[in-house]
Amino acid sequence: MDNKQNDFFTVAIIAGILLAFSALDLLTGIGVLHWESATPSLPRPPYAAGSMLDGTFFEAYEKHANDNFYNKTKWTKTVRDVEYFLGKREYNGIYLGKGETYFERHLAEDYGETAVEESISFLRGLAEKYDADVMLVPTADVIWRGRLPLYADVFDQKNYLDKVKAQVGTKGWIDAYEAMLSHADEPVYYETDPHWTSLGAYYGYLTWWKHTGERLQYYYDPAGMETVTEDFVGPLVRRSGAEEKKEQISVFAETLGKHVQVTYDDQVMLEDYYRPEYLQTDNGYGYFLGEGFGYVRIDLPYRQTKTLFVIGDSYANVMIPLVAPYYKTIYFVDLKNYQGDLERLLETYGSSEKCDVLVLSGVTGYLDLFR
Amino acid sequence: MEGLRLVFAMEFGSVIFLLRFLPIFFICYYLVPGRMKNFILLLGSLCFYAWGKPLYVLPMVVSAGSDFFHGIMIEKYGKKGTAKVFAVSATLFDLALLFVFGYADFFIDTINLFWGANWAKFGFSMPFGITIYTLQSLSYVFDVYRGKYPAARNLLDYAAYVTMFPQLSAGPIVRFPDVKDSLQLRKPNLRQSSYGAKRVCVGLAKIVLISDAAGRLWETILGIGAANLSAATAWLGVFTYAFQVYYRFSGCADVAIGLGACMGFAFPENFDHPFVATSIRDFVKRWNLSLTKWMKEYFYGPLAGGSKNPFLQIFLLMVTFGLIGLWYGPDWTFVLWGLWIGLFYVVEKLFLGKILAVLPRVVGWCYAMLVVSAGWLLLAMNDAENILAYLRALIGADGRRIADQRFFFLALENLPMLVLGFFFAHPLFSSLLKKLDAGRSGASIAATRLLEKIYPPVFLLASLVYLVGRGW
Repeated sequence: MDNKQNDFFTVAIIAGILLAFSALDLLTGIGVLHWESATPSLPRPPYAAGSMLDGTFFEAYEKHANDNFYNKTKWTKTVRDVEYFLGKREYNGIYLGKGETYFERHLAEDYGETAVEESISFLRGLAEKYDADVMLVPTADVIWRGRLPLYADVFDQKNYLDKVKAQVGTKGWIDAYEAMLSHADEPVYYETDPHWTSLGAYYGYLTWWKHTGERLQYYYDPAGMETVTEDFVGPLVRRSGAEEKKEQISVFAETLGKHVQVTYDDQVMLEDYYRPEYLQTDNGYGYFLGEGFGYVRIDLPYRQTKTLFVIGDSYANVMIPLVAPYYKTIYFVDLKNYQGDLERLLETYGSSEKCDVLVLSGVTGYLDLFR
Repeated sequence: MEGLRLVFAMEFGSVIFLLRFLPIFFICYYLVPGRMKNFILLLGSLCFYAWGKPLYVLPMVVSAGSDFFHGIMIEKYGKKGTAKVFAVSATLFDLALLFVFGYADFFIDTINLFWGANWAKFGFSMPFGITIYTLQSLSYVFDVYRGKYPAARNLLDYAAYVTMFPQLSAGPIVRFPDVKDSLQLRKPNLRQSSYGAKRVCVGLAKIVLISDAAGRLWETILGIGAANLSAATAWLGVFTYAFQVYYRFSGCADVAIGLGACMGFAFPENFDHPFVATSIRDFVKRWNLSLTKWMKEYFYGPLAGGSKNPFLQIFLLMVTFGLIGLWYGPDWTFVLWGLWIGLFYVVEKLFLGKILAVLPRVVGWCYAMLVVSAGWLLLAMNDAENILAYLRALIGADGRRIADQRFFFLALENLPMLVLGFFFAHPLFSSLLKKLDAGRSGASIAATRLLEKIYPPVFLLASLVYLVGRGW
């Protein structure tokens, strides 16, 4: 092969690759090639003089061109697979752990000293004034540490929990950390969602029960749990841009079919803890008590005299049906959404002797309130 | 890049440029005969430039027209005073355009800050390529005035030169004599096209696989906050930022030189492995060569005029480096970066250079990289408080750990990019290719031919797959 032939081949190979990609782009653009996208892709921006002059048209057009390339999702998967092979383990604040487990990343700098102090001070206040029990549940990245990517940095939740315990006192402290750790080899968390599973909530319930000193324990059979869906895809997968991974959601059969009245924000009343309509949405976890409410009142059919006032986050949604048989009424304030006067509500419902006050929240969800 | 703002009309590393613009451009370019190629080049360049902010084509076109006219007038009046008037007029016009569109708001911000004024700004964002085509135009005017070559008589040729799209992104600054003959008579040949195509592939890989990835890592490290960084993570950040800047500029230069070769032009080299520099003077000789040469020939040289006055030389050197910094963007941190490099350049010229010459090269290299790294911080952050906080992280102040878990996680995650970055920073790869290419034995010819069938397609394929696959 002489130099000219050699140069020809070199140019031909390079030009060939470029033209092949161009052809894919062109054929997709003119509608000859089609491909199915799981998510709607960006539409072509309208041709408008204003947007062309200020440049926004061109930016939108670039995004449209990139988004609509032939089989874009497969290319995206290829890039992700190569990146994973080369060692990438974090996307958009989500760690890709072993066994296709997705962890929300929580770092020390996310929670400054002020946030930590204020959060502990709040709990101390509740413990002192209302004799509240405090149960903060560590997230999966703490309990399933072995599944995290190598050297993945995590916020030291155990250290934080020790500080809370020291301030709240052992009387009001319910140790969810040990409970979850001792069952770390079980599916106590979802692998695609930041919450604990019904099984995890069950171990939390057992720890709570031991702490209350109640003689009678309402029994739940983990082996008899009913699967309500096998198509649950948690938000962590989508946020990381990965392919959807399905999980199942199970509930304790003993909590189904109870004649309860659940009133959301003093307005909407339903007759079940569970919201099956959420199973068809992107927020499957909303099956447990729904989402977006600030305050829920649950009137229960049990012959009890006590009430329970829960202050927490969506972690409480799963455990409330398990503790329900001990109470006549449960009030639940989701601090993330509640806009009203918590103090007044506590004074009204939480201050009587027959009322137990329980702070039940995921550690990071609770700390997020003080950021 | 928060500090160093590189704003592109059409990104080299984009689906639009690579898969739509480039094929259409080159098909038209290769199909048309001879002199019509300049028309296609001009048209393509205007389309390239108009993508993003179409109105900013106007200053470029006006500048090209103005200098073409002025060039003819300067030549017409030869060495008479009138020629000088036209030269001054052309210079002032170009600088006025550059000032109004590029630096007026910076000037107004400075006045408002230091004099407590409240002047309203024009609101222009710096037009893409204005610092490059302005310097190209000015070099033409100065050269014609000096009689170095005749003025261009063909407006199409001259306009094609000024607006040429490959090097408008980030250089090199091409002077008229570099392309004058090629503009009139060129016939792209396979040898040039082969060289150009390979160069484009390397440039793309630098932009997409190294610079972009480095940019994302830098954003991550920046987001951690200087107070939370271990010393090792802080240093990782400095190298990452350096890679982001260098490989973006160097990659764009490779693409520009490669595309120029495919079109039949020979653009000058712009970078020569600056990270192996063993002194700041060495670094300056390796970084953005076309800009340094331009400033030496058209600013420092004429003003210093062979003067032996050391104070004048030092003053002019510092002003030159300050202006070099300002070229990168309308911000005082860029000026400070230029002055920082200039300071060490002067110190080496005065006495430090002699000391470095007798020390082992590795000492010089460590010194140069320390100075350059500190300089990157000025480009990376435009806030004195943040710079100082980051410097404290670099030296491990405030009782922080030398290396923490975060450092190992980020280093491991980005190992391929870091390895590629360090590998291409060294001239080993290019030296090897040059050696093989120069070899006359059958083995070295075969090895060269095999290598050039592998690495450019691999780089191109990887870059294209990454480009179309990214975006989550």
